[in-house]
Amino acid sequence: MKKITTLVLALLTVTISFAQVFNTEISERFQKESAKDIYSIVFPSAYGFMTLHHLDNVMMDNTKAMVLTKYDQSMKAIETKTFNLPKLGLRAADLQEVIEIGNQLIFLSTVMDKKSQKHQVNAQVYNQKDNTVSDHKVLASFAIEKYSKSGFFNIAISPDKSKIAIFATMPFVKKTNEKAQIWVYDNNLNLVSEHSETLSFESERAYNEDVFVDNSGTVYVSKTTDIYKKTRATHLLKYNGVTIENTPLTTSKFQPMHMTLVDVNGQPMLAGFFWNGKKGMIKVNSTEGNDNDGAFLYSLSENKLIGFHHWSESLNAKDLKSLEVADIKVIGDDIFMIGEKRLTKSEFRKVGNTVTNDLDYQYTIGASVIVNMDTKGTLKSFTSLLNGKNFTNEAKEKGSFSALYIENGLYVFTNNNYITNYPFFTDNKPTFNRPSVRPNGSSMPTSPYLIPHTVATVPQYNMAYYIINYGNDYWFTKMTW
Amino acid sequence: MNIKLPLIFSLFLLTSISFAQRAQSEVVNYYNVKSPNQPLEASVKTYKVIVETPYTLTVEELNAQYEADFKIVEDNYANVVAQSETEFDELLANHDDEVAAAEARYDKEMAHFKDLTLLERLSLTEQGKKPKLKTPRKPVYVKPSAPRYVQPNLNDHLIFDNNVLADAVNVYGYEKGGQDILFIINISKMVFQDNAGQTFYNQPTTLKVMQGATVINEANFDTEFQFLTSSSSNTINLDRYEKNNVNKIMKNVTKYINEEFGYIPVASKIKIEFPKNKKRDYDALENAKIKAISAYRKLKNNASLATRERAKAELEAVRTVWLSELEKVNYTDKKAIMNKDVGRMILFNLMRVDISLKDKAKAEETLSKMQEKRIDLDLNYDDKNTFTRLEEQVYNL
Repeated sequence: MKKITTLVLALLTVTISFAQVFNTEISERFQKESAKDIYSIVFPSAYGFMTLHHLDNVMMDNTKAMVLTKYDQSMKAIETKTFNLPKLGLRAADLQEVIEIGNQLIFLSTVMDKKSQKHQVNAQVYNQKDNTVSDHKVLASFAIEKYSKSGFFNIAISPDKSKIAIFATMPFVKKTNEKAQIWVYDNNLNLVSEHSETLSFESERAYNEDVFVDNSGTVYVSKTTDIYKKTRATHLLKYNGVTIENTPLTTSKFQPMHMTLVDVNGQPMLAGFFWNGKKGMIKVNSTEGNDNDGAFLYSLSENKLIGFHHWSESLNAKDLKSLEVADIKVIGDDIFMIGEKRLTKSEFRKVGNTVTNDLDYQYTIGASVIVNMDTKGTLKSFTSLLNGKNFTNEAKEKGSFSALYIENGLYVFTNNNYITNYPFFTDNKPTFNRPSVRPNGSSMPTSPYLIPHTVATVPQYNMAYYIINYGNDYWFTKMTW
Repeated sequence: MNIKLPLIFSLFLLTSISFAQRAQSEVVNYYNVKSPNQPLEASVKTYKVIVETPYTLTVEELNAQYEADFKIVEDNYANVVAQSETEFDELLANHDDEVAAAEARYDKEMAHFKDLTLLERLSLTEQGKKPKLKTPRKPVYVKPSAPRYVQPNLNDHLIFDNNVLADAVNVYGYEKGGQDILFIINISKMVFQDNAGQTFYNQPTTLKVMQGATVINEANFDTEFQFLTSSSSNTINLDRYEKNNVNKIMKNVTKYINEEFGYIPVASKIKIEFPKNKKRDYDALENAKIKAISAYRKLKNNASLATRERAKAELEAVRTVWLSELEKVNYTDKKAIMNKDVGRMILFNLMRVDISLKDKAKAEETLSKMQEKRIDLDLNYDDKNTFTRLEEQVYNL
């Protein structure tokens, strides 16, 4: 009897020791300076973090302020620094990317000015140690005549954040071929290579292109022509620092849709979703989304489609359209790719029958799917993740999810009426001691919403910070496990 | 009239019941055997199975590999902690400077605030923008999380134990342990081949059957390419297919071995009939029934050939008793102790046992005896059907 009791106790201890427990601690309540402010957490450490916030979806503003606030270990604000994105003429630049490397944040922004006849990419570097922002550096620039023919910039960051690639499509010139220019920088903003070339594509603006750069600095541009036609084709342009090679990516059964470049144990690969091209033309619908028929993995070093997987019959793929690669992780021999439907449309707000000048943005986020492949491209599983939800304007910050891979399981943090955690690929059922808040100083504790894109993990500390929200109130949360 | 009719009906019922109670039966489940296509010599009693596969990875090796990887992380943990302590010391050293800087910032902001007009100061205070002294909290050391060992996921690896595979092979009618006969199964690696968007496979496997140093049989399995799925090989989980195929091959090889050399048990049942023996008039028949049922119960799924021979001998003895009792039957006197009903029971038992023993000569002999007595037996509808069914079985033996 004594032995049995000892065994049961030992068994319980083992079970408890393996169960994942998430504990949370919240900060004092705060409110956003503006409802249109978008927050992110940077430089997370065991001793505090910083926030970056700026206005989102603000048009025709001649000042674009970036606000950085430092928080101590108890999640109390200590110091705030505000700086503006650079201006060209009277126009302030639009923020494109923020890259966090060590103690630095690189702010990449684009701006064009008719008077100066320039369209350019700027970089500013914030240094956390001395709390300073560098003067802006022009990374790329080309001449324009007018705003309606101003060309495009596409910026890509390598998976290890060591390279920045800028691909510029020059302004449209009728009956000519497209002129492109490429710049590759390292993360100290030193120019690695620069190249300009007239491509074999017509100089039309209808080309759909995505730019990727791998850790070695090789730039890949996927260009899709005849997007809505039966003759739709995607080409992969590879720029190795000297020349540009053109490789067709599509086949009769494979039309890549949204994809991303991922470093799979040192090998650059494209991972994403495809349309199988079986129908005469792709069903493109801004409300329902574009057709997606499965997931793929393409080896860039072998120029070979190594994983090509149609949705399984058991998967409810009805709403898996217009999927974007929302998250991708390579853990050992496993690739976990999460695709999420993302649609945006905007319309002028109506008050009664009168149309106002205010724009309302409507966002559809989800359904989503987890694709588990091995690094050879073999499919392990498709798992339905979340159903689709609609959000208007600032409410979109509550949409989507954040996924953390902890030890031997994928833990997805999202909202389902309130902050929720779902485990995948593990038998452990985690205990999530979710944060509880008292909005407006209320005596009643309430479960808040998560702002999923704010989740920032602290490496080596089993710790993450994120922002939670209820009504107009926000809190920082420190989660440990 | 009203009283007489129920009385007659009751008497009729009683008579029927008392007559029906005399015939009883018991159904026994047992395992018959299917004879092999290539029977082995009688001297062969035991067998051994050897399985050879290309899968060398073991759970122990995998765990060792994971543990070695974990040890590197674990060994590095001390460095991680030391580094975190250094970083913390720096933070702590800078803390006073940060406090001083915060105070200087506050003094500057306050000085600026005081320079404002009263109205401006009131407005800023109302907006909550009056300068506040925000000194950072003195940092408290946080130790980095110790690495935790995570068990490898065995499903991601092709792990087979050749001994376990060999132990799963059961050859019916023989016993494991000796080496009267040796089955050597050699499985090679699975080969996948794409063809027109579909995946085909082969996994050549050989079986050698050896008696001493002589190879008495040899067979090949999965040598030709076969259809696997309608998807191309890069879209399927190759390891999962290989695992399933190895299990399928082992199943097929085991089936082949048993069909060729084994005595495959076939689930069967037999009905033994006997008269009610309340007055101890049928002791011999009851005794025969007990022995017959006992013999059949010996015929389990895994009964050895020796056990089956013993059961057969017991049934032969029972058969002799039934035949001698059959001699005592008086087919014309209904009231006789050994009347035609007892005769019918004995004849049906004999036929069923003969069929179960697959003894065609004796079964035909019994059938002939029963045919001779068909008129005397005066079989009812059900018995006639039973007789027809058994007659067909005898002819099919």
